[in-house]
Amino acid sequence: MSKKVLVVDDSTIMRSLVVSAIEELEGVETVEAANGSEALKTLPQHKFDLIITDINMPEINGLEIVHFVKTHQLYKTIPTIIISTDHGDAEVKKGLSLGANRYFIKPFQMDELKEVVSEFLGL
Amino acid sequence: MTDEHVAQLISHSTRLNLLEDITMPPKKQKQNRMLQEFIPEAEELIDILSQNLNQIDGMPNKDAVRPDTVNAIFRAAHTLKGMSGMMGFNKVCDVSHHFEDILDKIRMGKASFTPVLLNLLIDGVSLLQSLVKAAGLGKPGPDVSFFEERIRLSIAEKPKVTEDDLIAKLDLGATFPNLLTEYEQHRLLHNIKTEARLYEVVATFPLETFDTDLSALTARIQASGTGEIIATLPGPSPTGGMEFRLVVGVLKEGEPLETLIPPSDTITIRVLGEQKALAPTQTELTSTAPAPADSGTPLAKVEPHLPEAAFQPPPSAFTNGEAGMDDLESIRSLSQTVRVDIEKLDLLLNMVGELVISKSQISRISRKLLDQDGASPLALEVQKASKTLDKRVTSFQEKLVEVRMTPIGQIFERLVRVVHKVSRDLGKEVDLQFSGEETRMDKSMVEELADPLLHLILNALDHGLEDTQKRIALGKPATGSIMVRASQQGNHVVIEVEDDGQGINTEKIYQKGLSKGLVTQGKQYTQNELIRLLFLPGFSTKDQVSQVSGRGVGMDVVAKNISKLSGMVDVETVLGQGTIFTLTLPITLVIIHALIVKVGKETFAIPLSSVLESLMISEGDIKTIESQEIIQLREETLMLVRLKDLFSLQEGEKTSGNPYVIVVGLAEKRMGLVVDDIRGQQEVVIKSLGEDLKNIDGISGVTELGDGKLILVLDIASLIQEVTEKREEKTTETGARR
Repeated sequence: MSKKVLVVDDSTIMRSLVVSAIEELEGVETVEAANGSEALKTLPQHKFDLIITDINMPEINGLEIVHFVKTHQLYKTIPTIIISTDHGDAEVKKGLSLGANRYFIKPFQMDELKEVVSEFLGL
Repeated sequence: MTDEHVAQLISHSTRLNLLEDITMPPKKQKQNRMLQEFIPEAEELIDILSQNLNQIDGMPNKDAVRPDTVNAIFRAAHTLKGMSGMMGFNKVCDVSHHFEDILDKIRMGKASFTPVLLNLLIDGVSLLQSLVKAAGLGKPGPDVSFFEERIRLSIAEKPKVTEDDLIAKLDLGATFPNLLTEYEQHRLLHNIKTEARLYEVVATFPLETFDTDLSALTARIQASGTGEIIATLPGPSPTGGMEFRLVVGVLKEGEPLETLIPPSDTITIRVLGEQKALAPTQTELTSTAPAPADSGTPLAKVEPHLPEAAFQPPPSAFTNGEAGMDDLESIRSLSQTVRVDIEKLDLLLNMVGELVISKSQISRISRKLLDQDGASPLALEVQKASKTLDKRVTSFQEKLVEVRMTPIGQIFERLVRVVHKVSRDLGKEVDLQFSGEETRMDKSMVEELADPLLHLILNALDHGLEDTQKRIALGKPATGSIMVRASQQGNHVVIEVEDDGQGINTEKIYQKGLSKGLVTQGKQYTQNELIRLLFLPGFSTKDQVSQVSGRGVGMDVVAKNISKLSGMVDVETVLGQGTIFTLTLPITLVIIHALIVKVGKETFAIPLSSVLESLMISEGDIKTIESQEIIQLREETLMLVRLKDLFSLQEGEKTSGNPYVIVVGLAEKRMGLVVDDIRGQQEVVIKSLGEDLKNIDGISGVTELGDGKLILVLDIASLIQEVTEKREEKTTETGARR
């Protein structure tokens, strides 16, 4: 059975970059969400093995998604990767304190992301 | 869970009738029992607070208060907060939380006992007392908002205000600042500094439409041109659906938010910060609460919570961030912690189990490294780290196992009620006595023990004790006696159920067994063998299945339940005088110390709790008496069992050395297990064999050694039982031949 990854980013370009990179991994399926609301809507519809979310998004931000996921009975065990920008140290710290499992700072190497993703998915 | 909810559960469970009590769903039992434990403990903690605070109040120089006194009060408040939070008594939790906060500040030298503060705390103690009392009665208790307001004001004098403090003062909960991106944090501070009005909007939307509903709401706020949404925190709603907490800033000159968004059943608005000045109109809004005719929404839910005008904070945006609100954040986290129950503890214990396995993996690797590299610095370092890990995991595990230990007396209380009711029904007078209530064992074992124990007592009541008239005729006291004794013996708990009734008539059992085809005519049986028949499914010696014991559970279920717990049942009976049923059980099941032994090619784990000693013998020491192998151990004869024969194992490579005998024992029974080699002691985590294999005699489960291999764990209780029975068969056979 293939593993499912939820990719949340309000930037279409970032989303496609991440999605195409990790779909190169065998047995990985992705579901995209363009904002927090969409992500929350998508969560109960799939059984996700990993969540990758951008932090800076309008309305519901990535930290709030991490908080939602990590305090939710059903989702709290899903590993979560947060993506931030180079001046977002404080946000990364917050994300990790909320329970995010790993972070990436833009710009980052897609290969690095792939490696971490396959580690989390046990590929 | 709210106070009311807990109270409901409790009053419901106390209403249950006696017999149902024992079959009451475990959750309610737990709730009820937890409350029984909570009240006295809470009262004790409040006593500590009260005594110490009054003592400090009497001191002329408050600065001379000893730091450990302050720390003791702090800890009492801290514990009370934790306990009441777990129980869902939010008011007790909130008030003790304030205590904790203040005392922490004093403890850390950031504040001191001023007369005002001390007065406040002493008032708080009486508030806590009445709250706990109310909790015990299942009542909501007095309002605490007034007290909270006083607290907030009396600790308002802060030396310097940082940006973080400004946000903290909005009282949105501890995690809230962590949920803000830098930009959002900046916007929030900007709003505070420009004296914009801040609101928290809590909106609940159905799961199907929350995205469009949320967009509609945010669009409405943004369209005003004066409102700004600073944060949007999603969470599951307690009623199903999705709940969003929005932090909204509205420009000073803008319209109040509640006119912009009419509050409704699904949307509540609370004011953050200085808008308390607007309270009178808002209070009116809540109290009269007419539906705004044009908005079409039914009810305004603005919650200003303003206790008294005298407590208005000074009108500065920098110091008046606190709103006298129910702490939404804390309610939320409470409802999460309330769900921590035995299942979670089980899970945790499982995880510790995994940890124990990983730990032994690491120590194995460390040993390997030492063997390979000799005492190289790296190998030594790994060994040191592995030892530290070992120590920590062990103490973690010990603590966790300790947490799970509960006094067995808990089930005794339940038994009393059931037994009294049943004895009335049967028209028998009984004096039920307990001893050893304080004996502790694993919580799950205590629960599992309730049914078998109840059944044994009912059995004694029904089958054991004679009718009152018969007792008088026999010259026995009219009131029958049943004694239940629990005691700890080493790693085991022994529970005895003794009655002074008629004893077990083995002749009757024999006849009954004959009619059921369970015994062979003409064959001789020992008393013990016949009594064992009682534990076979569907065996009952009473001519008519009585109301009590014939409740579908038989002695077979008792025996099965007990052996499932790796325990054993013994019966001693004297006709006309009474019977003693003895249950011997391990204190805990999950993680045990085991002796790892090798037999042929197989490896087994023997629970160390049943190992008395191990001996190395030579084959010449073994004698055979009546086809039973024995050795002479000091003055006694020890029966030997070869595991190789018992499990029909293949012969391994010829072991050079002599065999070992592991002397095992349970209660007063002893036997020697012959094994090829002893591999050492290890902690093992027992896992079930799964449904299909769980009834294999002599095996209680499997365990994983550090190297990932699965090995079987011997069930000493059932082995002893099996072997003793076989032995008895043999003696009767030879006896019959004579």
